[in-house]
Amino acid sequence: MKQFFTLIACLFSLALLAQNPAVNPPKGTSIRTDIPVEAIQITKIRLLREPSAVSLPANHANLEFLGNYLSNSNAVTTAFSNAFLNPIFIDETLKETSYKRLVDANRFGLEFSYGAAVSFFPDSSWRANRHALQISYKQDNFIAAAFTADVFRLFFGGNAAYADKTAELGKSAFYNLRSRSIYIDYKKVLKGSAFSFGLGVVQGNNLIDTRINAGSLFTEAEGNFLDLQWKGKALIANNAQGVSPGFAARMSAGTSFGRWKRWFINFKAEDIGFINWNSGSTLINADTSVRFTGLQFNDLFNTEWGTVQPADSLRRIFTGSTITGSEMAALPWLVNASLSYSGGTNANYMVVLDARYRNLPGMKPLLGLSFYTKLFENLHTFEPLSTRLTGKIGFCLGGFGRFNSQLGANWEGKNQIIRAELSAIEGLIAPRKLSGTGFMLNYILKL
Amino acid sequence: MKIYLRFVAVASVLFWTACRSDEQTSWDIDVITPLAEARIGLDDILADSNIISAPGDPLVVRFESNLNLLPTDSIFSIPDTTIGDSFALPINFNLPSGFQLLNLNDLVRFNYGNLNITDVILSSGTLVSTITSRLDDRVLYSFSIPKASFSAVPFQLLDQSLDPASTNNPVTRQTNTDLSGYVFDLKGPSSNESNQLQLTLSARLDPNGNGSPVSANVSAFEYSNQFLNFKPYFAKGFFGSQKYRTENQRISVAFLRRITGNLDLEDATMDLFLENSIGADFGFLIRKFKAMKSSSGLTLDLAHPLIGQQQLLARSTNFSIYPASFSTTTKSFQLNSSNSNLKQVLELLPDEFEYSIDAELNPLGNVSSGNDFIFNTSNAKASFALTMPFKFAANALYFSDTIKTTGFEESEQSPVTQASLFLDVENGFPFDLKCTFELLDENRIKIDTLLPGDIALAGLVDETLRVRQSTKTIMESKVTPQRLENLNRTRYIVVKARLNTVPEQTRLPMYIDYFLRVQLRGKGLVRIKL
Repeated sequence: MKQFFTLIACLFSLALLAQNPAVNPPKGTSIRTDIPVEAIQITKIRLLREPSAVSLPANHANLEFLGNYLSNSNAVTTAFSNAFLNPIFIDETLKETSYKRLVDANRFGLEFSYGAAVSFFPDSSWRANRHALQISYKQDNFIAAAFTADVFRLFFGGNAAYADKTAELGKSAFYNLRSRSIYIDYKKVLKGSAFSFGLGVVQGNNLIDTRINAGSLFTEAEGNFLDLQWKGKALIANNAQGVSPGFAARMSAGTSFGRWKRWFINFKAEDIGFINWNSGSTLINADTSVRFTGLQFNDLFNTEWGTVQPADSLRRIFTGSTITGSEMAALPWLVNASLSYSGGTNANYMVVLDARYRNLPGMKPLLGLSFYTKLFENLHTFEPLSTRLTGKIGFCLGGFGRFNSQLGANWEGKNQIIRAELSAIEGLIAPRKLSGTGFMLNYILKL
Repeated sequence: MKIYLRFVAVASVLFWTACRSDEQTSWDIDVITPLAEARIGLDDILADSNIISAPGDPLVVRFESNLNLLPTDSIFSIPDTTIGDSFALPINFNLPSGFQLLNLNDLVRFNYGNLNITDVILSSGTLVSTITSRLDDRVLYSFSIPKASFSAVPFQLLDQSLDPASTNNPVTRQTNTDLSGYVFDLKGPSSNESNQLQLTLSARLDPNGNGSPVSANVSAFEYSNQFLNFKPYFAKGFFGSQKYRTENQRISVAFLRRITGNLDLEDATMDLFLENSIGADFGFLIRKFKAMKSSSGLTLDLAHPLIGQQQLLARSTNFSIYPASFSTTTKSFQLNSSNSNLKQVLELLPDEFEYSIDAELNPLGNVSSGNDFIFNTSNAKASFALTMPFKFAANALYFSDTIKTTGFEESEQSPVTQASLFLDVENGFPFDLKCTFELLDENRIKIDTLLPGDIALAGLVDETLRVRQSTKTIMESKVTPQRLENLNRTRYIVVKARLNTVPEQTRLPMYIDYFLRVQLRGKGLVRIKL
C-alpha cells in the first residue's frame, strides 16, 4: 500500500513539474477577475467537460496514454484485493477481515486496462466539416465474481472447516477475460453536440466463464467422501490452440443544452461484439451429482500407473459433459449515461450524475455523483488555450461494491493534459468500511 | 518535448516499480478429501467359470485346460501340388490338322511323408487348370480326373477348345474348380498304391482346321494343374508310426511369481482325461511334470503312477462317413492327496511347470491294414481339471510386486505445506494384512518406506470360520517436505503384503463376497499460488 501512495504522490509531483513555465501564472495569482464576464462567457469560459466533448480542440492531434485499474467488492476488503495487485501471502488475519463482511450474495470485480490512442483534427476540410478520427489500442483484463460466502471460504480457506457440513455453491460465477483490441473511431461535432462511432478488431487471450446456477458440496466428517452437486456451465478458452479473433463496435452521443450550454448529457456504449474462441475451447455443461471417494483403481493388477492422469480423471468426474471446439462468446458490453452541469460565475465547478453498467456477472448498475472544481486556472484573453488544475471528489453506489468514494485531479496545460484519479480508496475520505481500490492515469500530449 | 519524454519515462519506471514484486499472491487452504480408492474382491480375481460351488457356499474352484496331443495339421497337412506338361519339337515343322498334341495319363503324387493315404474326401480345395496354346489353329482338348468324383460323377472337362494363337500372342484359358465335397481315390491305376491321383489329358489340332507351323524348341502347347488349399473332411489309409515328442515345455503362472510363503491347502484334486477319436492307436507317456518356484529355486516333481507309464488309447471305430460318426476312446486318471503329491506341489506356489510328454500314432504298427481314418473333427487330446476347495491356512504368505512410476511430481502451483495421508483399509478377509510400500529411485535404491509395520486386521469370523464383519484399520503417514521430495524421485514402488490367516493354524474357507477396500485420504494445508 505504501508503494501505491508513493506512486500517486510522484504522479502529482510530476504533473506539476511538467508545466510549461511560460504559461504558469505569477506566484500567488489564481483567477483573473479583470475580464468582462461577457467576454469570458463568449470566448474564454471553458466548461469542465471531457476534452473535445462537443468541440474540436485547437491542436491538430492528440497522443493519449491511458491506464486504469479498479477493483471493487461488497465483501472483500481493499487490503485483501490489494494482495492480488501487490502480491503477498494472504494470512488468516487478512482472510478474517473479509470473512466478517461476507453476505449471502457477494461480488468482486476488477478491471485493468491500458492503451494508447492517436486522435487527428487536421487543418483541412475535415476540421471545416468538424470531423475527427481516432486510432486506438487497448489491452483489457476483467475479473468478475459473484459468489456465496461458502464459495469464498472454500476457495480461500479450504473445505476442512466444512467437515460434516454442506457448503452452498450457487448461485456463483467467475469471469476472467483478457483481450486486446484496435479501434478506429469517427467523430462528428455539431453545434453543441457530438457523435462518434467506432469499429474494432479484437483478439482474445484468455477466457474463463463459469456459472454455477445451483450447487453444494458436502464434506464427510473424516473426508471419506465428498458429495458434490452442481448445475451450470463453463467456457474455458485461451490462445494456446490458435488465434481467437473478434469484432466490436462502440458509439457515443452527447449534447449540451440550457443557458450558456451549461448542461451536458452524454450516452455511450462500448465493447458491443464478440470473440470467436478457437477450436481448443472447452465448453462444460454440468448437471452433476457425484459422490467422490477418490480416484478409482479397482483393476489394480492391470493399471498402467505411468499413464494415470489424476487431473484429467478428476475433471471428468466433476465436470460431466465436456465439449471441445470453437465457441463464440459476447464481450462484456458497457453502457454509460451521464448528466453534468457546469456552474459558477466562471464555470468553476461542475456536478456530474453518472450511471454505468458493464455486463459482468455480479455487477450492479454503478451510480455516481461527482463534484469538480477549478483549483487553479490561468486564462489568456486572446488565446484559445489556458492552464488549469481541477479537483474532483465523488461518491458512487453499486457496481461490485457498496458506497464508495473517489478523489481526483485534472491538470491541463498548453501542451498536455494529465488526469490522475484515486477511486474508492478505503478509508481515504470515507470510513474504512468502504471497500475498493483503484486509480486512473490519463496522459494526453497535444500535438 | 524533452520534459514530456522524461515524464513518460519516469512515470513508467514508477508504475513498474509499484506493481512489480517477486512474491506471488498465495494463501493456504486446509483441505480434507479422499484421494484414491480401490476394492479387491475374490470376484475380481476368480472368473465365474472357475467357481463350481453353490452360491453362498465355501468356494470350490476348478481350473481347466486342454492340450492337443497331435500337433495341428500333423495328419491333415496336404501340401499344395502342381503337375504340368508341354508340347514342343526340336525342329521347325508344320503340324497337319487333327494332329494329336498330348495324350497323357499322368499320376499326381501327393507328398504325405510316411503316411499312406488311400482315400480323401475334401471339405475344401481348389483345382486351377491352365492351358496355353501358341498354335495358329484351334486346339481341342479334354481333361479328366477319373478317380475324383462328386456324387459319383468323375471330374471331367470334355470338348474344350482354344482359339488360334501365335508364338508371340499365346491364348491361355484358366479354369478354377471348387473341389469341396469331392471324393479322391488315391490308390492309383492299380488300386493298391497310395498318395496317387490319375489325370488324363487329350489335346489335338482341330481336324477341320488348317494345321499349324511349330517353331523349333518353342513350347507350342502346355498345361498345368494346381491342387491348392486342400482341407480334408475325411482321410483313410495307414497313418504311419509317427512320434511327437514334447521336451521340457514350460507353463508359466506369472501371478504366482509375486506370492511366496507358507500355504496349507485343505485338499486338491486333478482329473486327467485322455481322449482319442482318431482311427489309429495312440500311445501316450508323461515322462515328467515338475513344479518350480523361481524365487526360492525349489522344485518338486509330481509323483503319480501315471508319470513314466506308457498309456495306450485304442483306435476309434468308424460308423459312417456321412454324417461323420465314430467312437471315442477315453481314459481318465485322478490325482489326489492319497495317490499323489499334488497338494504339496500346489503348496509350493509354483510359478512355472515343466513337462515332457511323448505321443505316438500306431505304436503297434499297421495293424489296421491301411484302414486308419481321421475326420476333421477327430483329435487326440488331454484335458486337465484342477479342483480344490478354496480353503487354506497362510502363515507369512507374502505378496510382492514392483510398480513402475514416473514419480509423483508435486504441482508447483499447489505445494503441500503440511499434511497427513490416511490409508483406510476395510478388511473382509480372514487374514491380517501388513502392507509396506518401499520407494526406490531410478537406481532401484530404497529412499523411503510408507506405512512400515502397520497391520490391517483380519475380518472377524464366526464359529463356522466365515467372516461376518469386516475390520476397518486406519493407517497414517505424515507428509513431510523430505517425503514429498522422495515421492518426486520415486521410479519404482515395491508393494509388499504379508498375509496371516486368523485364527492361526486353521484352514479357513473363502467366500465369494470377501473383499478388501482401500481408501487413501489426505488432510492438510495446501498453498495456492497465483
